[in-house]
Amino acid sequence: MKVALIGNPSVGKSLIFNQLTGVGVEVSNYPGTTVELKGGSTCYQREMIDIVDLPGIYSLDGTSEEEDLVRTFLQEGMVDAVIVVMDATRLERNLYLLLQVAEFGIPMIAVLNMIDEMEKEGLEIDTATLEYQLGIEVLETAASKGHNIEKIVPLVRSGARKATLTIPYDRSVEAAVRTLEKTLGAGRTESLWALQGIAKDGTVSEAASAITEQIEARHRMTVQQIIAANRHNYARTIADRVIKTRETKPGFDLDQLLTSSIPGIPILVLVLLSTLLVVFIVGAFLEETIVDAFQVILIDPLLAFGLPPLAETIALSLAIALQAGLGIAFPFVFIFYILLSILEDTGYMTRAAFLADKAMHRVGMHGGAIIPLVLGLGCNVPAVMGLRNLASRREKIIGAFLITMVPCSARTVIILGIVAAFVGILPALTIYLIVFLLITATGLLLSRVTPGEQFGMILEMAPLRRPQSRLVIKKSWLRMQEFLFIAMPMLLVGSIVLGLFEYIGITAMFEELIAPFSEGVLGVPPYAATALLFGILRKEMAFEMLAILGGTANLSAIMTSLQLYIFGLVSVLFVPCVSTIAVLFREMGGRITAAVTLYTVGLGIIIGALINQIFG
Amino acid sequence: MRLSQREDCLEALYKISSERNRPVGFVELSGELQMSDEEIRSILDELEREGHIARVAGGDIMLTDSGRQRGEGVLRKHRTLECFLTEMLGMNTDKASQEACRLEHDVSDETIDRLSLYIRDSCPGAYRWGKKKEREPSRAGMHSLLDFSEGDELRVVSMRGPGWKRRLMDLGIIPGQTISLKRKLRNQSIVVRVKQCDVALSPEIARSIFVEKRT
Ligand SMILES: Nc1nc2c(ncn2[C@@H]2O[C@H](COP(=O)(O)OP(=O)(O)OP(=O)(O)O)[C@@H](O)[C@H]2O)c(=O)[nH]1
Ligand SMILES: [Mg+2]
Repeated sequence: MKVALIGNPSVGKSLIFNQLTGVGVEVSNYPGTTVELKGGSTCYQREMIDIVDLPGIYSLDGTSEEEDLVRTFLQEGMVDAVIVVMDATRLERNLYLLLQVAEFGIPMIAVLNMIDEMEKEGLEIDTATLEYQLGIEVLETAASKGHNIEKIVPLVRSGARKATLTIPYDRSVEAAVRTLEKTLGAGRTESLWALQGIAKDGTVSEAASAITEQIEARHRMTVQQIIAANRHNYARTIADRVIKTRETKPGFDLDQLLTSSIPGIPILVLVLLSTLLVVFIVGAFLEETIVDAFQVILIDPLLAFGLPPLAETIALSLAIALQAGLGIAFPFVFIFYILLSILEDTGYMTRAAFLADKAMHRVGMHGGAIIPLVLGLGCNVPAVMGLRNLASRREKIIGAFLITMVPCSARTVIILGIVAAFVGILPALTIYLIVFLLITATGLLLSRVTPGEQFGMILEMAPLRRPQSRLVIKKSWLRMQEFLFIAMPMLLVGSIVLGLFEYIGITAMFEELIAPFSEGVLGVPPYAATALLFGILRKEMAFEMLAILGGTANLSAIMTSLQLYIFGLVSVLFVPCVSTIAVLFREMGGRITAAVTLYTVGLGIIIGALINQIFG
Repeated sequence: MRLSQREDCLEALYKISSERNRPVGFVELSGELQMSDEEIRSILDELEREGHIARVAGGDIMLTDSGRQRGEGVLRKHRTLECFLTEMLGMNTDKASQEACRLEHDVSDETIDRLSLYIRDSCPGAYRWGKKKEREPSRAGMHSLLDFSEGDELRVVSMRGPGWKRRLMDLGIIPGQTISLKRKLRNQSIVVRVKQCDVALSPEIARSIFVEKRT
């Protein structure tokens, strides 16, 4: 049996999916977290139940990328049943989507999630009446507490059925549907799509468009509007019947503070700065502890051991790779992810989007684009995928350029681990400043030259919530896994290869070749240029390889402050990593990917050379 | 057979045939009308006897000149009445359409002439392009969301604008919906509360939503 989770954005579909299948997908408190289909499965009474997590949508008749994806998914008829997840505190709007799903005629159940919040708000929903009104089973859950989640699969297995409701449409719409049904044999749902201009069948759409024109002339309203209004009215009727009490308790309005210019904007700046500072202070402390520990228990004994030369070179590369990877990258990345997860789960991101809307217009996008940009601080890959939430090609192109310039956590490792640790915290902050200025300049430039239309922001504000430590840790861990299980092995293999190369003498040859460029243009030793190239594989590898090539994690012993600064700056700007290039290619196509890559390479080298010229 | 049913039938025939420029099939006609097939058949027979319609090969129906005139007249009455009821009296479209359907059969031509003149005169600025500093067109006598302040309780009157309309509609921002203006920054970004949800809007979008104050 195959079932799909469908519902409005941010209602808890992914959290439920994780709990049902044990697969880990992103769960965050802002609309548009999930942008792809994700599959998983669970076993119930010896039967395999496949579950699909869908992106959140507001309507099945919309034209956005996710809405199209979900509609096509349902049209293909690949699921036996759907689970419509609703946010109990926003029942009326959620019912609007449920009504559309019901029209598909797929067996379904409804899950009324966020019961905990509903109770807190003093709302009460009469589930029995709701079941009666919809003609399907309704289950109350609170996914964040795991309440009733175990009942979902049994219920959908035995109780999923087609809804019995019919939405009463405007006379003219009903007449048009009847005409299409009679003349062309189109189904009700298909006729409704055709009237709204989104049907797949050519003849039906053609016939419908003539009727549509006429209805619109008569009503002075588009057919979409009429249909939407009818559905909203019906949803309201149902909501009014089932919402029993509504006692509003006026409380302290935190939102008032967060979304006003003052103190909202100072708070925004403070949040960003303090995030960086906390990552640096806590990260640096952990780094020192771990690096020292490695030195004492691994590297010093190794050197004292006196292995044969080849073995010693390789063992030493391995040991330093471990020291740099676990000791330096891990603490910064992990702490950064924890803070980012907290930020995401509070619902603050949508407030930041609102405050930044005007400023983002200047760089050719709107406030909603703040969300992928901030996500980019964690990792560019999901951020680029988050671009799907932007409506126009123009915004996506600008967004692609800007996101790949955002210093991701791996680059934060470089900035904090190299520049802040060995040069000073102020110089590290100037790197952020330079990157920020470059991003702004790029945005200003691109907004002038990129063709295409621009839409404004229409963004649902996520409710403010206290993040749950369990969920925060789980999400950070999920994101860290990629670092531990992909980056670390890559680093270890890379370091062994490097050790071998060094032993044979290839490294020396390469360095001789690249020396004129690295020393002449950037003013850094040739092995630093080699390390930079490793940064293309994974950003933080530039740093770790520098340590391996230099033979020590104490970088100030081998390079001057200026050299370290330039190295840091160039590797932050220079080329997105391969994973980012791959996802850019998939989402945006070859041309944009090539343009972004060339642009960042050029930018990195030019800025590096400039700094070298001025201060060198 | 009642006069109103015959008129409805002529109106429907006129509507369909004028848009397709060909004789009308029985099924097409019955899709437009809310009557049983037998009723429609007997009305058609009657209309044919009176010389308003003619049947062509295959049983399709064609309007004669007199039929065309009658049909056009009824349709015009319907549209004028409906326009008056929705635009001037603010009735919801569904109701207005039903009401127009009933009134159209009794109202005189003179009333309709005067009514349509009245409609045209009473909103002279409609659709005229304003010269405000926001290059956007503004409708005379209409206020966009940006004309109100924080805390106002509003009702959506109409919306303009292409691409984003769909998303607004799906969020429940449609004519007739009550919303409240929760936050308005100096740079004109706003937050409205609609159906228990807060929705943030860019200025250019807020400017395309016309509202009135709820009393
Ligand atoms: N209080 C409370 N919070 C919940 C509940 N279920 C989910 N959440 C929170 O709601 C937020 C959104 O959850 P997700 O699972 O990401 O929502 P989604 O439906 O997958 O959202 P999209 O992927 O954007 O469509 C997260 O911060 C969850 O922790 C619940 O029952 N109670
Ligand atoms: Mg999700």
